[in-house]
Amino acid sequence: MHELSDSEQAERKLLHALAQFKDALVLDIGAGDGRFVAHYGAQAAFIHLIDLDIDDLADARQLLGDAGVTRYGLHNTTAERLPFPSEHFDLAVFSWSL
Amino acid sequence: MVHALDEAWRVLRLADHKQSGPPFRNGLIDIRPQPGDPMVVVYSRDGEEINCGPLRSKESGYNRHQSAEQALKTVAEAGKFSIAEARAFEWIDEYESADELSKDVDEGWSTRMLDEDTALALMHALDRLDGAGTAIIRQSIRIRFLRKLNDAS
Repeated sequence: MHELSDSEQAERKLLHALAQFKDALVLDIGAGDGRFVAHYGAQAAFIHLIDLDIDDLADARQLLGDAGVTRYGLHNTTAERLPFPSEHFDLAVFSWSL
Repeated sequence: MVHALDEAWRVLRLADHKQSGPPFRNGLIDIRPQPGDPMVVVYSRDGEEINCGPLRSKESGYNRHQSAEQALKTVAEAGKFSIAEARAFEWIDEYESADELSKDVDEGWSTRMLDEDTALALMHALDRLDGAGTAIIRQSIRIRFLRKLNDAS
């Protein structure tokens, strides 16, 4: 399993101080390799990861598997036309992607 | 960016009760580096800190941060989001040598570069400390939580 650096631990701590992920339906926009999703994936009910780079999404599948996150979907699509109904998610995340 | 924020607004649920304060249950999280260049620094074992210079942007004429801030301002003025909370922390990447730092910037930082002045200052600092220095890249990261508003006429 990936060992978190001090910076990653600080990031995770602040993230959980700001948002409640327990049982939340989450959309991660520009998720990249899923590094950020690993911070909250175990608590969320389900996470949809969106990214234009299909190689990054393949990396995310690997990273989330290593992190023990199983409730997620990967979408190779643009953030400007999301394939989801209105008022569907509890939380949306732009992780270094806005 | 505005279109992406508009879409995020559309797919987010409106909180069904007033969220009094963090941690929040419904909304948008925006995490990214604060304005300003990441800095290359050498730390000595006795606590001395030597600033070697910035990692400069490769994107001349385009400021991603300004574009993102303008997009957020646009959706805020449209009554879609308001900032509920903002916090910051320092992200530090640590390297065993100047070569390792340089290689990481080349391969892992798509929008930044190590220019000659900063690279020379880094090498001089590490040489001066004669093995007792640690090279780092330090940047400030901001996390903001934005509350979805209902008034988007």
